[in-house]
Amino acid sequence: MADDSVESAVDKYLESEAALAAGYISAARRKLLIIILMAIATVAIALFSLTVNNCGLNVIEVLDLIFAHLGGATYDIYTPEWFNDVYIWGNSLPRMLFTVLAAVGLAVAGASMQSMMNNPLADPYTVGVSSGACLGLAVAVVVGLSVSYGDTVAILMVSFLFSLLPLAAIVIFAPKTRASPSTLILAGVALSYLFNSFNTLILATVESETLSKIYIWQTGTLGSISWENLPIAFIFILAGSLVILYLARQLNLLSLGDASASSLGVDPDNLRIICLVAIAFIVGAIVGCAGVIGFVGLVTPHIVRMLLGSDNRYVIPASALLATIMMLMADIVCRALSEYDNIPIGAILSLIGAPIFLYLIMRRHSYVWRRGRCLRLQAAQAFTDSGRRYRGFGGHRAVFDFRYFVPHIAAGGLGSRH
Amino acid sequence: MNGSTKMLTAVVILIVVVAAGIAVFFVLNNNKESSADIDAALEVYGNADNDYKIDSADRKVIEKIIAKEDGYTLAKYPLADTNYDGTVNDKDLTALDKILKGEKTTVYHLNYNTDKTKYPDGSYVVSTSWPVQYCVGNGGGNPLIMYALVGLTSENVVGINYSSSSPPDKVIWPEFAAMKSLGTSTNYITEGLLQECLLANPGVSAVITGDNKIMLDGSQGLSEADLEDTYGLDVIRIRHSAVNPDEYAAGLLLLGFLFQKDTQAVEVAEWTTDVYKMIDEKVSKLDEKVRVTTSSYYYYLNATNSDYADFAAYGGGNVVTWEQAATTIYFEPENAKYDPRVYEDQYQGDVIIVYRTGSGFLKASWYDDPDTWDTENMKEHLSHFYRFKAYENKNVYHTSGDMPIVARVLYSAAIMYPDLISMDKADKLHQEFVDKFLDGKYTVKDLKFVLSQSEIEGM
Repeated sequence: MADDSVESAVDKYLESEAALAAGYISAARRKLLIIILMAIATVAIALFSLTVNNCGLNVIEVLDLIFAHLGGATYDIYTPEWFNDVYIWGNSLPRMLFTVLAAVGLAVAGASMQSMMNNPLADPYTVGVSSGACLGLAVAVVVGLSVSYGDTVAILMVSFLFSLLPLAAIVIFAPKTRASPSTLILAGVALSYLFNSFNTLILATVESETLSKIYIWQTGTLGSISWENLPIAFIFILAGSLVILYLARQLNLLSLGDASASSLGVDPDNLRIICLVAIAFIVGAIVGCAGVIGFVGLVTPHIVRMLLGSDNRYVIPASALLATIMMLMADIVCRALSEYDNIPIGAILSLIGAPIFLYLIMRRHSYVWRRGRCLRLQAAQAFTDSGRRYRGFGGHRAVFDFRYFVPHIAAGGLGSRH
Repeated sequence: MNGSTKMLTAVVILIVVVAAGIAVFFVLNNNKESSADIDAALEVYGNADNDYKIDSADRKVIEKIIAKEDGYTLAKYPLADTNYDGTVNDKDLTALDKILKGEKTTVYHLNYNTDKTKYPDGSYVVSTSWPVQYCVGNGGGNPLIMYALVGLTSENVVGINYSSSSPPDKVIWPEFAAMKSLGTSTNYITEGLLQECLLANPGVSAVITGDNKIMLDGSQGLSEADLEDTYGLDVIRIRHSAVNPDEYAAGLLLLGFLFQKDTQAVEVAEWTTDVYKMIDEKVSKLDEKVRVTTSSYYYYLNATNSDYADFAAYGGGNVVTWEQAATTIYFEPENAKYDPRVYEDQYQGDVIIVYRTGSGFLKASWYDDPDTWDTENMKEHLSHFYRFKAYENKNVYHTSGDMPIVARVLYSAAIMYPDLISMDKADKLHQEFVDKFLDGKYTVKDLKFVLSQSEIEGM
């Protein structure tokens, strides 16, 4: 009799899922459309940002100049064309490209951190990774590495290595204490304070000129970005981002809770470690090149979840696009406000991000964190996949077992439909 | 011999004597010009004999090195390598001849940078297209004075970078004060603004800046490498704030050479060296020097190795400030870097000399009418020194940090040794300097460059 009731429930479920799947596909298309629109906006703003300078060129002229440069065009030195070419190619273009890279990296890092920590306040700063990178930057400058030509790679490497220190602490202690995500956040906050204190001690002992240099760096600046920064930053950020994107599905499962994720073949601890290492790659590169740029990684995933839900396969790329839009616009504001290009982008982003974050907190859009919605999405995904075997993290095979979800459905555990 | 013959003989003798006297006078003057009494050297390769100029005597030294004469080697005369290729040969003679003829060529000279990790001895060799006609320069007070001393005007220095909180003094540098800054401070140059300047001023071939390692380090704006590699500009780093007369003179000589204004640079170097020697001679006769502490703001003292401490040291003082890791020493307890040892007797001077800019202390210019000064600000800044014994004894003096360095040394000596060098004498020498080398830009007796504690408190 018990089997009959289960079979009956499954039949009812399968009947209703046809409508659900249609809704899911429609929702997926809507999300893709939003992402495409965001990508178009990103490209438009990126091109516009190239025109914000003293050259007085419009977008078409800038593009002509870039393509001409790529084609090997040369100009007589000190002519207006030569100056434009030097400025656009040597200053505006690498700056725009790095802004895009950094935004992508910060958004990916923030979104993934919020998923794996299951905490909306998680971002690279709250687990101490950025503080470690800042400390590395301060150490690098104090020991004599310059932020100018020649030392860029060295500074970036030092920042990255120091960003691994808080990570190492988490990796070492978390398994031993069986720390929950919220505990890791608190540990990260404590580590942030620790590294910030070391940073302060260094700053307290240096002369005013070095202090000024480190301070400017740590407030986040794009003013010194050049082609020299891009290759290694690209490698670090791309590598970290690709790893996280690859793990997006597993991060979705992590949001069900460690026990549920484990039952589906995901090793939560290992997954977090891998993600944290990838985040260290990303953040170390960004801090080493441009200093501390905050709020982007924290705010953009929240905004995206309001629009697209909490599926990381959409949240992560959409956050990357939205973060790019935000950072490009902030950079445009920085350069428009001061012809000396001395306004830190970190300050502008905080000015923009803080009110948005307050608004989000007040709106309390915490429904996106409800397990019920995640479960429903997972179920619909599994149905759309026609019950295919799900390959969990670490190579463990797991089968999407309807019998696991059906009792939940029978008990009305999914909550209301959206 | 009759009377008329005697008269004629006397007239002839008189004429001969006068002519001989005139000849001797001219010869002596020429010798004085060609052998100026300064110790500084023109640090340009080609100045083989390491004196203050490049002339035919350098050619002789190079020829002797080529001929391998005894005592003439590259090691002994390193500046003989005119083309800086590691050897001394005919190519160096060719390069030197170009300089002697005033032909356009590339010269090699020393730049200075305080970054000891990159430049352990503080200097490095660079090449510069010579002669230089137009440049962009550091717009700080000391560099502007140096430009003027060498004879450079806003026609030569077509763009400057300075901080908005310390712009060029409008009274004595009106043409520079009217220029828009090319950067946020004297340390940085913003690319877009430099481009505007270069577009408006074709012919700019060099950038002049100081030896501070933070200048043009690329942390904000363009780096030295950017200026050289991308814009093809020669970066010239000089010690424009040096108190050591030889170091300061070396900067003057280099600028004078690069801009082909040699004569004035030599004269200034000579005059400065003479004043320093005069002070040293007077003070060296004393059994004990005055114990002095210096400051350049209202809540810290200068470390003993700072330029400000050097003003007092060259002025004959015994700088006794506690050297806290060779950094600025904060004397107010609420400051994070405060250390109570700053108030120990052994580290307190009998006199405190505070060197301040007009914009920071007076909220006006030292060269402007004292009625424009913000006396409340002056009193407030003075009051911060109340914990020091010098303050109790009313021996805290404020003096201008905007005037020529040699004047700061002079007034420091006058403050510490009023019996040896009176304030009147200091004013007179200051005016002589201004008249000779700064085109009489201001009249010293109409202004006030030293303020005693009593004077400030009575304002």
